[in-house]
Amino acid sequence: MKRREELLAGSVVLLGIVVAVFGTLWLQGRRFGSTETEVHVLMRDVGQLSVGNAVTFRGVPIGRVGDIAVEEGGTAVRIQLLLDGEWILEDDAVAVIAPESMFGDWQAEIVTRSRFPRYDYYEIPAEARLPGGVRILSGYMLPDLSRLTAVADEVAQNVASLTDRFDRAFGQETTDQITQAIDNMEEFTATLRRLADQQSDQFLGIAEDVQNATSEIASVLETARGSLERIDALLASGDLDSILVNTRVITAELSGVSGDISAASRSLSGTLTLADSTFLALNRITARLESGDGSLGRLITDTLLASRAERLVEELNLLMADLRANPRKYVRLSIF
Amino acid sequence: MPTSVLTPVEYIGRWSINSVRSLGKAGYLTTGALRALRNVEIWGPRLVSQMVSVGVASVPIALFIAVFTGIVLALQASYTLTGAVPMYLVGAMVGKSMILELGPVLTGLALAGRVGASTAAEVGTMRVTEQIDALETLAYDPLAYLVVPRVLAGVFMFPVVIVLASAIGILTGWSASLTLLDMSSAEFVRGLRLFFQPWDVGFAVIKSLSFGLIVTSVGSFYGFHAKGGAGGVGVATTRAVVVSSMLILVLDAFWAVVLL
Amino acid sequence: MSIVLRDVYRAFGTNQVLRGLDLEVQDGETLSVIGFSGAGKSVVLKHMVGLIRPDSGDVVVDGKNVNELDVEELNALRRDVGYVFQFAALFDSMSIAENVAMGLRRVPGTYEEEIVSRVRECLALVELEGIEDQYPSELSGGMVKRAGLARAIATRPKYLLYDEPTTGLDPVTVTVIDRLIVRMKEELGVTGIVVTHDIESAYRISDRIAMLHDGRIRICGTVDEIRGSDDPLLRSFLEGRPELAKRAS
Repeated sequence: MKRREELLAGSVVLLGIVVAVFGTLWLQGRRFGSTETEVHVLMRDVGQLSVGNAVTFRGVPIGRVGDIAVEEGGTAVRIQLLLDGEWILEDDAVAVIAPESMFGDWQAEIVTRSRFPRYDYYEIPAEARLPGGVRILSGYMLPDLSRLTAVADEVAQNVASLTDRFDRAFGQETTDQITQAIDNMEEFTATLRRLADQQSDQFLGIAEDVQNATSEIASVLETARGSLERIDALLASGDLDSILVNTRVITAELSGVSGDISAASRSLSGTLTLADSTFLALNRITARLESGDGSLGRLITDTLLASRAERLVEELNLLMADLRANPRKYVRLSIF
Repeated sequence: MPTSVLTPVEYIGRWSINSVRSLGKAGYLTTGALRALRNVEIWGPRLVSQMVSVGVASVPIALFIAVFTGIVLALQASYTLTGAVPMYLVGAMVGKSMILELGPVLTGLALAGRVGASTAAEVGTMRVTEQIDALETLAYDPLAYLVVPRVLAGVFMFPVVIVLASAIGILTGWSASLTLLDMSSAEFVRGLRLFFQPWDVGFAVIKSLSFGLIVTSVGSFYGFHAKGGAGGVGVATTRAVVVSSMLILVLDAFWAVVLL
Repeated sequence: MSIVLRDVYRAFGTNQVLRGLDLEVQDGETLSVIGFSGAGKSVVLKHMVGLIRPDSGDVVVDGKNVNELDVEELNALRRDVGYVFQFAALFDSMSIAENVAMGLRRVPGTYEEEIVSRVRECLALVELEGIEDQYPSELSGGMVKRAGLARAIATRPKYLLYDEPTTGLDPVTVTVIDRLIVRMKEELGVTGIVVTHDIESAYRISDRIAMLHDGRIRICGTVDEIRGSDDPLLRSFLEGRPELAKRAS
């Protein structure tokens, strides 16, 4: 009787402890009995990455974040990644930290530097090397949605101030052409907003369209960038006739592209919410352009502003590249 | 002064005096029980059988509750998350609410009924049939013999029972998601792990410890101070269940404020 | 050595039960305390083992003042005092043998074999052989009382306190219990204090009888003195005539 009771109580207590301990470890995502590869990442900022988040490689979860700590001196953050099994990473492996979805879960993706060469990775100081074969990777945190729109807005404002400064150089003919381009843009953005309103109805099956659309958007941005470069160059040389010629080319390109996009994006929803805000900003630019204030003199003397705008466009381009690579990430983000 | 004016005042006065008196008795019992902890030779041999009756015997009812809680949680989570919200959040909701709240509190309330009532009834019956006096005349400290093993068993076993209940609740929530919601295991587990933090388990265990302490000591308190015959035991039992249930909810809020 | 209560006062809430009670029990005698229901007879008994502490006054048992004892000393004293409860107060979750053994287990240095043989011995003394493994709920009222007595004598106490040992029993069982009480005195030499309102039983078992009334001992004397007393309250009690009691008070 007594022994039976002891046995019973003992086994229930043991069972409880086993469930608590192994349950906790399992929920943390720890695998039992298999080897782990430890990799460290150094970067400036980890966003909302937290311990236990997934580590992915080519989109496949291969481990989890083991620890996050600020480096001594506070110059960087060190992330410990625990990869399941044996891993030998490529020489130019880097880690990109990004939101996995809107719901607070972030992830660390191991990629190669050559795949995303333009990201501004944290450069590991020489003294940070670790003994014992533990690799230290450079890390980069992708801006999330809020930063993306902020950047787009900044681009828009800079472009606006840029255009402010050369509007007076145009004659009647260019004004007409630009007006025409503006009309196209307005029509385009209206379409985008309509589509965004309908997004929830057509949520599924749009990934491919997103793929197409994002490449279109990227080419628009490419064009815009090219134009800005040309404008910049022209302003530097002071050749106003060339500006006029080039503006004609740009507006023609823009209207063509926008037509393409609206065709490609009939069933597009999520991504375009993002794009919509960008183009809304562009719309504002053209509105200002149309109203005809600003001064060419200021533009010519302030080439710094032009180059800053150009840099921002480049950053936007990087984001678009990511958008093209991982459309699902942004589709999900834009539901809300 | 007319009595109609005085009556509520008297009532408040009597209520205050009784509250203070109860607090005093509770404090006396607590210090007595703490002192009785020395008498290991009295409570030691009784601990295992109390662990069985407080803990092991409570496992079936706790698991029964957990099974249905898990299923309901999964279904209600999916009902709430209609539309474009990803289904894997069902796993997060089941896991988080089972570990942090429903596992400890629902099980605690069920055990307040089971353990609190049986403690108060047993101790109360021993009080009104002079068995507690008999213990004293046989040189046993009744607190060491009756209260300490029960309270210790509660403190040890409540976390165990609650851990098992939470685990079962999550498992049934999982299987309900697979069978009734057309989710995949991978989706559920992803959600389950998404917001999980090891501290959640510690929080649940601390909560459970305190629930075990409260339920068994409140039951012992009312049993110990039972008066009269069967009626007195009945009153003690009812009070034990009501008061320990209320204290569980108060403690639940307290820990949420202090620890989260 | 003996039991002495000196000027003991004890109240429960507003109910003043003992009002300066003096009582002395001689070594080796059996003293019966009689009195009306609610007079506080059990309260007197409980003072003698420290179950109830007096508000004022002294309770001296075996030369020790119960009020001044610490827990260890009180426990030691309790081994010398057996208490037979009114309804036996057997632990109903335990077998009879375990019940009887309870007190023995608290005596340091007692071996299990010793306990087993002592339990058998005590049960034999109250004529309850062979019921070791039964539970209290399986016994009749008289057997429960005797088992309670066996538990009280297990530690071989010098004093035995009986709280209404014969109440609610049939006349034959009453006689059996009475004989047991006498036997305890004669064979074990214990000092007995019996709280009862069964006057016939008191006559049979007592050396002296004391009547408790109004929180004090109203009268105390040998059996013959009590029989011959003309105190109206005592006569009212002995003869069961309430009108005498009214006149007396």
